[in-house]
Amino acid sequence: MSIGVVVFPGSNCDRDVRWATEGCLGMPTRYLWHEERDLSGLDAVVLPGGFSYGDYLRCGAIARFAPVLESLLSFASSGGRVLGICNGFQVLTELGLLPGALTRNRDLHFICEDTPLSVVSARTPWLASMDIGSQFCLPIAHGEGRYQCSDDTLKRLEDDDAIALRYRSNPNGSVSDIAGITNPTGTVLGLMPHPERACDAQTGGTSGRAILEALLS
Amino acid sequence: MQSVERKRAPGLSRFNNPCSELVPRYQARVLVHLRPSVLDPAGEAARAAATRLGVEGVARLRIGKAVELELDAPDEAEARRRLELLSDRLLANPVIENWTLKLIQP
Repeated sequence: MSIGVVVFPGSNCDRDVRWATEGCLGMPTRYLWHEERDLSGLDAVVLPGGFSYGDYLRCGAIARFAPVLESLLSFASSGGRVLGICNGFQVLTELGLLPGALTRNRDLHFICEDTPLSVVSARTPWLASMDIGSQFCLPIAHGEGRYQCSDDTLKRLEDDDAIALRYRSNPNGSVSDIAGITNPTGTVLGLMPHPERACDAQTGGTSGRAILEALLS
Repeated sequence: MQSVERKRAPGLSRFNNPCSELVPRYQARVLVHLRPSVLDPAGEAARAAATRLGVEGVARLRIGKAVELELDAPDEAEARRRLELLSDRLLANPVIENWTLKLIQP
C-alpha cells in the first residue's frame, strides 16, 4: 500500500504532503515526477498544491497535459484514489476528472487563513469518519479558489451527493459555498483547503488527518 | 522506454504538429474572455480605478486575454481546425470562458 505525490515544476506543497502522509501518518509515499508514466504499485495519487507551470494561461491548464496525468486517467478509471489539493483541485477540473472550474477569488485577495468547513457528504471514504453537518477547520491558501460551474452541473453534483465540503463562511465567492467535491463514485476528491497542513499537533492541528488517512483506508 | 515522442515538447505532444513541407503561415489572434455569467473581480477593480482617475461613465469593464499565434498549415480550413482545437482545449476553459478566433490570410 503506497501513495504517489505528483511533482510538477512549480508545485510547492509536494513535500508538505509527503511529510504529512509519511512523517505524520506512517504511510509509504513516493514522489512522481510529472514526466513519469508508471503508476504501478500505487494505491493512491495526490496532486499537491502550488503553482504548477507558474499558473501560466490558467491554474492547472498546462499541468493537465503532463505525461503523468495521462496515466492518472486510467488509474482513476480503474478505481484508484486521487486527491487534488488546491492547485491539484484546479488540475483535476482542467483534466475533466471533476466538473467545474476554479477562478479568481471574489475580492481578488490571496487568502491564507484557517477556515471553518462543514461536512456535506460522508458517503465517500474521504469523509466517512465524520458525520454529515459536522464542522472542522482547515487552512486555505489561494488566490484562485472560487468554484464555478453551471446550474446544470451544480444540480448534478447535488443529485450525485458529490459535494463533499462547504465553507461555513464563504471566503472566495464559490458557487454554493463549495470547498470540495468528489466524482460520482467517490474515488476522486478535489478540495481547496490544505489537509496536509493540519496533520501535526505542533503545527496547525490534526483536523486534516482523516482525509489523508482515507488515501489508503 | 524513451520513445521518440517523449523527446518532443514535454507535456504538449498532442499539439506538436511539425510541418516538414513548406506551407503557408497563418497569423491568428484568439481573444479569451470570461463568460458573461462569471464575475470578473479584476475588471470591477479596474473599473473602480477608472473612476479614481477621473474618467466618468465606464459602465462595464471586463478583462480578457489576447493570444497571438503564427501557425503553419496546408490550407485555411486545416489552420482553422487546429486553431479551434487549440482555443477550445488549451487557450480557454469553456466552463468559465468564451473565445473568438480571428484568422489572417498569409
